[in-house]
Amino acid sequence: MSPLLACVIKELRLLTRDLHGLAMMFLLPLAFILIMSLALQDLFAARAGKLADVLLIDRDATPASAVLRTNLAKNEAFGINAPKSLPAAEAVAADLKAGRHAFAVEVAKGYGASLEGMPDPDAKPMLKITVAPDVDSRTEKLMLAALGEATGLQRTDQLIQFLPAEDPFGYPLDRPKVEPPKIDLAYAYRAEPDVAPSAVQQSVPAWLVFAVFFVAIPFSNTFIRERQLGVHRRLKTIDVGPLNQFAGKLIPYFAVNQLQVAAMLAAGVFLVPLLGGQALQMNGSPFALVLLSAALSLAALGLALLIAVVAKTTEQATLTAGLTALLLAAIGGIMVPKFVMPQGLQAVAAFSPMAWGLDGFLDLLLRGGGVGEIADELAKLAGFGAVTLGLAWLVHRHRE
Amino acid sequence: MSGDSIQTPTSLSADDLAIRIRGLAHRYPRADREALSGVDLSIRRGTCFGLLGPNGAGKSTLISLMTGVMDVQRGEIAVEGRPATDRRALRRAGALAPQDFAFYPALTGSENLRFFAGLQRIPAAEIGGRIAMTARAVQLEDWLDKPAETYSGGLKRRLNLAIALLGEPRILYLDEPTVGIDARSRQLILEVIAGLKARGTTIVYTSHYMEEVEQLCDDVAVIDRGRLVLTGRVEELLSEAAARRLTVTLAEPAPKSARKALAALDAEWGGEDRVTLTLGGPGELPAALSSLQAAGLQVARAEYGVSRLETLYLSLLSSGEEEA
Repeated sequence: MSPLLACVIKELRLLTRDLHGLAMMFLLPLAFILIMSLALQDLFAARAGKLADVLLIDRDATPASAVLRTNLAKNEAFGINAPKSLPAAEAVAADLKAGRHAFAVEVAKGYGASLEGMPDPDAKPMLKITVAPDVDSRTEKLMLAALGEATGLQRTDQLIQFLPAEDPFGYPLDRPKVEPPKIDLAYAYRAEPDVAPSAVQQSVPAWLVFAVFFVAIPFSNTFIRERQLGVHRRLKTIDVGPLNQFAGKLIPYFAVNQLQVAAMLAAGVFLVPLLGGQALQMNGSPFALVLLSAALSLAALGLALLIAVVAKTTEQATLTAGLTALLLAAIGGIMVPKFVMPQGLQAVAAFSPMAWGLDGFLDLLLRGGGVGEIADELAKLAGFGAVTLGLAWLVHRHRE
Repeated sequence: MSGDSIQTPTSLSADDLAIRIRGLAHRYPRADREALSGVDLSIRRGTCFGLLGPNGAGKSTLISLMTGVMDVQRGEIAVEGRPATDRRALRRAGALAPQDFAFYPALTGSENLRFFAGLQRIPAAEIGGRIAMTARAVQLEDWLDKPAETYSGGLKRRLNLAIALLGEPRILYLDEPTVGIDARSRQLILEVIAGLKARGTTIVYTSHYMEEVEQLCDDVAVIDRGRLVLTGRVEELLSEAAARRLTVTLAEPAPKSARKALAALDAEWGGEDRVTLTLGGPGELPAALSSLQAAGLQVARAEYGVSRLETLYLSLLSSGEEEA
C-alpha cells in the first residue's frame, strides 16, 4: 500500500467518525440555504421587478378605465390585480390589512366620461388610492407617480383627439401617437449585470461557497490534533514525506467539498421548493460548474492548509479559520448580497475569494454562462489556491 | 560519581555499534541554555540501552535527534554507520514508540495498524499477516476491532508499541513505554522487549522505573541538564557501586556522640538505627566495621556488595545538584 493511499483512507475514516464535523460541513450551510432562501424571498422578488401588488377596483368598467389598467400594468414596479367581482369597502380594508396588496386603486364610476370633455379643475376625484398599513412613504410616492403617469398618458391621448383631423386645405392630418418617453438606462457601477437573482439563486451559491471555505475549521484541527497526539512526531520518524501527508488530507477534503457542492445544489433544486420557495434554476455549462467547484475547493483548501500550519493550538486554528471564513463571507457578498452594499464595500468585495466563487456561480446558474464567462473567476480562485498552498509549504518547511 | 567518571567504550568496532554519537549539542530557539551539550555515546548492536535522567534532562531531545525528528545542529550521529543527514536510512533502520499515545483514538486498533503499515510501504498482501503478528506479540488480538479511545491505559501502551513493531525495526526507540499502566500490561511489555532483544533488536529505552532498566538494559547512560553524567555497562556500574557502599542496621538507636564519630566516614543516616558508609573499595571494609565498633555501635545486620540502580542514580543526581 502506498503512503498516500494509506493517508487518504485514514482521513476518510476519521471523517466518518467525526459526526460533529460532518454536521458543521453539511447541515450548517444547508440550514442557512433554507432559512435565507425563504426569508429573503420577498426582498429578492421586489428587486426582480415587483415593488408592490395593487388591487385595482374598476367601478367604471369603460374602455377608458381599461386603458388606465393597461397603462398601469406597463409599470414593472407594480403588479396589478383587477378582480372581476368588485369587493366591498370592508373587504378591501381587510385585504390591505392582511398584506395581500400594498395599495387599492379605486376607479370611480364616471371616470371614462370625465375624460371626454375639456379638463374641469373643479371636478371631483375619479381615482382613490387606499394604502396598506405597512407601506413606506417612498413606495407610496412611487405609486402616486405611476398612477399620475398612467392617467397623464391617457389624458394626453384624449387631448390629441381634440386636434383637427384635416388641415385648412382639407387634407387629412396624422395625429401624433402618445408614447411614453424613451429613456436609456445606464449604470455607473453595477455588481450584478443583466439579471437579478431570486432568493434561492443567491442563497444556494452563497452558502455553498461559505460551506466550502468553512471546512478550514475541521481541516486545520486534524493537523493540530495530530501534533497534540504525538502522531506528527511519530510520522517524522517514518519515511513518509510531508507531500504525502498534505495530499493525504487535501484529497479527502477536496472530495468533501465536491459533495458539499452537489448536496447544496440538490437542496436548492429539490428541497427549497418543498418548503415553499422557488426552485434553483440550473443554467450554464455543467463542465464549467465542475471546473468552478474544483477551483473553489483548491482556494478553500489552500487557505485551510495555511491556517493549519500556522496555528499552534486547536483554539487558534478554530478561531482563525472561523473568523477568516466569516470575514471573507461578510465582504464577499455571502451574508449580504453585493447589490445592497455601498459601492465602496462592493469594491472591497472584489478581494474576497468567496466573492469570486459566488460571482462564478451566479454567472453560471443565473446567466447560463460557460467556461469563457467564468474564466476570470477560475483564474483568481486557482491562483489564490496555488499561492496559499505555496505559502503553507514554505511555513511548514520553516517550522520543521 | 560525576561527569569525571564517564566511561566510553573505545574497544568497539564500527560494526559492533548500532548508534555512535560524538560531540552532540542542541539548543532550542530562544532557550537560555543548551538542551544537550557535548554528548558522546556508543550503543552496541543487539543490546538494550537505558537512557535515564530527570524530566527536562534532554532524553527526548536526544531521541528526537537519533530518530531524525530534529536536525543535528552540532556534533555527529551515525546510525548503523550512516550519518543522521541520511534521513531515509535513519528512518528505515529504526522505529519510535513515543511516550504519547501516538495514534488516532477514533480509529480501531486494526485501522491504526493498517494506516501505519501503509505508511511504511508494507505490501498490501502482507499487511494482514503483519498486523496479526504484532497484535499477537502484544496480546491485542481481541481488541483490534474496537476504537482505540475505548482502550485502557495498558492497551493503549500495547498498541503504541505494536505500531512501532510493524516495520520490524532493527533499532527500537522506546520512550517510557510502561508509564501509567497496570502491572499485567507492564509485565507483558517488558517480556516483549526482552524477546526483541533476544532476537537481536537494538533497543534504546527511557524510563523512570529503575528496576525495569536494571532488569532489561545491558548499558545505561544518565543525562542531567543536557550533559552526560554517567555511561557504562549496568552490571559493572552496579558492582562498582556495590563495592563502595556498606549499609548497616544497628541493634539500638545511635547516640549523638556515635553519629559525630562517624561523620568523617561520609555516613548517610536513614533514621537513628540505619547508616550507609561510602567506601573507597573492598579493602576499606574491615576499617569501616572497626570504626562502627569504636563508636560503640552494635551491628544487627550489614549489607555489602549489593546495589540498586535507583540508589546509584539518585546519588548521581544529588551530587549534580550540589555541584550546581
